[in-house]
Amino acid sequence: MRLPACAWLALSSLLFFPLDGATRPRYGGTLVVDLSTPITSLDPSESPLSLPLPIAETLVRLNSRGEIEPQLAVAWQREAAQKRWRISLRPKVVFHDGEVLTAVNAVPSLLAALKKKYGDINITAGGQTIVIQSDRALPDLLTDLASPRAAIFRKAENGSPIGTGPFRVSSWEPGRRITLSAFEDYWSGRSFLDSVVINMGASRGRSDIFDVPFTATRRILPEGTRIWSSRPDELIALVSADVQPVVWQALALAIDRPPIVNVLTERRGEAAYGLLPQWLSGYAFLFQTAPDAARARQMIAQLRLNPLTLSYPGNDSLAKSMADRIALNARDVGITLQPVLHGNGNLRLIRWPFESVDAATELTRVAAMLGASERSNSLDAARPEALYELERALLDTNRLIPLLFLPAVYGLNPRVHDGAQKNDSGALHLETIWVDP
Amino acid sequence: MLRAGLWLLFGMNLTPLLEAQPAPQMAGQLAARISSLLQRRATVSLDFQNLSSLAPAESSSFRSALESELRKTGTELVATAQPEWRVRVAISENPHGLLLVAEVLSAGNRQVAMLPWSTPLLADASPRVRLSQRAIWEQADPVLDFLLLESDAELLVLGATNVTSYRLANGKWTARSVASLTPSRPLPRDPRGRLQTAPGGFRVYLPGTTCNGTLEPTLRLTCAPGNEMWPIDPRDPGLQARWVTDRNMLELESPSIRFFTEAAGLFATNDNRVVNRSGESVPGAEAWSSDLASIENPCGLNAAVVAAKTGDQVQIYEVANGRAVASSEPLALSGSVTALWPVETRDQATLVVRNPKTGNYEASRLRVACAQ
Repeated sequence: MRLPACAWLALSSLLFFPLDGATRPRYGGTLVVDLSTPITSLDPSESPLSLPLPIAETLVRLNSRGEIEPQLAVAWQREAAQKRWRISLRPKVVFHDGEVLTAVNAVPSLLAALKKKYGDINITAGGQTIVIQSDRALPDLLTDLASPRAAIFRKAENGSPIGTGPFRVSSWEPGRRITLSAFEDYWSGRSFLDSVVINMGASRGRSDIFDVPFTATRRILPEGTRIWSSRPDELIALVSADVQPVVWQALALAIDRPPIVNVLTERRGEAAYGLLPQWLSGYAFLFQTAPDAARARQMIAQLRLNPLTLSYPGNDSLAKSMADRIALNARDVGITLQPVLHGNGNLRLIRWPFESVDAATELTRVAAMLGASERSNSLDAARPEALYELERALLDTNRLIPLLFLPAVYGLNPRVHDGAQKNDSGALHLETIWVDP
Repeated sequence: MLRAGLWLLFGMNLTPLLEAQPAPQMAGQLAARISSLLQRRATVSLDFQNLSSLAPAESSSFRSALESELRKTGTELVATAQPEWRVRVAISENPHGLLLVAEVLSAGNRQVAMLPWSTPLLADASPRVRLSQRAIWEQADPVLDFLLLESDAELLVLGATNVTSYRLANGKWTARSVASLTPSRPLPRDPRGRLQTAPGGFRVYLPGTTCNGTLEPTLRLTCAPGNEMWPIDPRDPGLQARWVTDRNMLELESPSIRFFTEAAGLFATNDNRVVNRSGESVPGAEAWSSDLASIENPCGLNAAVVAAKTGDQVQIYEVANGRAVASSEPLALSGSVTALWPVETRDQATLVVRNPKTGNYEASRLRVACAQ
């Protein structure tokens, strides 16, 4: 099982962490991170999950306001039809093995990533310039280039990624431990920490940073631990495989979310009625509804219903508890729902991590997941109403019922500080963390 | 080569200079949008909520403005239980800023209008007396140090990537020229540097790099690898230190000590202590942060230190009998201190803070005076 992307997003960018403004950052030391979920791959092209670790970097990135910022690219230019983009690389950037970043060695990983979305894409390299070309317009190219999937990296003989980021991989035991070391020649300044050790599969609460997973059991934390909670960055939802629309609508009316929030997440989650959380869209409250069991019963009163199965992911006690709770809500209105572990149920309970702070990007991802990409093709992302209308249309496909938005929750040892000086979101990155001796 | 046009188009995204839209203007725009969804002379009940970080007073002011603007469109606002139309307005928020959301409800119909709102930045906290602050310059990129030359008519700003000279004209700084820094190593993540006058020009001291600069006939910089020793305190010319390559620290040869800043023989070290030359902790300095600077004591004989403190403040301390004692009220700053350096003008110090509201680095001069 891979680490949820939300955890990586959170680890690499701990939003809303209070900044330590009084003391200058201290260089040195090792940060020990315990994660309860194992990481089985560091391959950026295989999965986006490993990339937010500061090993490999993208050409551009999205800041907390969803704006594109230069990263490994310093400038870009597009032709009017947006079919041809010319990108200038940052000079004097080196990979962890000392090789200088050039257009030639940046292209292979970039091409592999972009081919997945744009089959006909062509990339040419010359010096420090990359030209990306397609037969069709590429209006979303910059957003695609900001995706962790489009990180620039090469592969070492042992398969581990060689990037340009502030940390390089020192050792890697899949599923057990990663050790990262500060990259002394990082183009944007060496990280404060000398190294980061990430232990996987157990979160004992004795490390510098550890995740606090949502489980059925309450956890006692060490004295002095600061709890950091992200903005909600994961959606838990029901997805329909083959449920008829009227039954789906009745089920949506039957589900009572507040008890799930209050009891199962101890008020740390948020009830989800739309696809995006309020902080991301600004209009999520428009989707809020109250459960209406009477109307749900009425809608299916004339139907003869077969029992339905609801599959949920394994090793996920929160998902199991939610599935049980939803089955109870369904039974109250006359729908028989049988929770099953794994498998292909008529309904699936899914965890859907958000990968960016851009509402349009996230809606486009959900649309693709629901097989409704055509609905987002002509999205005017600058108009909030257009985003709202797309989100409404995706909900009206009767394919997905949002249930809950979850934050990532971490415990932080008091010796952990954030040394970021220029940080427009209060975000904390591994490369800006520093620790007391 | 980086094209200027491209930089303007994209690079400027780093510091978006959105023009703030005043509340009455936004209220007018939203009222127009709402009224376009209503029938003429409709009877409307208005519900209003603030889901954003906007202060209650500003939210209330916006609501009043919106009601006034709606009336101007011919809409009749009522408080009846059964109006023709219900309008629910929320001031919301997303990563781009404030978002005005209006729902127009009638007979089971629902229409939605939304307007992004760029709000004015809140005013900074005002400084208090005794220790005064004079704003000099601000910019989106880090300011590591600055020099005031030619009777304060010329400004030289050391950034993380360049040195820029400005000339004062009609009360405004006008850029004259820029010279790029070519450090031999990337600057540390907590970038620091020092700018000092030198015969025929100026010198730049960076971790790992030292540069010679000239102002005339043109601004020019010549940089070389290495950490030269430089006088860190104009009040103690014999005290010379150098940067540590790839670090945000300075080091002395004798006594052997690594530190962030020095003032009046006290050193802020990387184990969060303030120590004297013997390495002993200084009583009374426990609340100080890593940034200190020597400053003249205009009201006494004891050495004075301006010290940055937790909570974005600076304060003057006198050092007597090995002990630091506060001698001014704390001065509230608009952000955390990123640089604090002594200057040759004895009653002043250079201060740079990063304002979290604007994201800008604000360079100023602190000045100390007797409180009479």
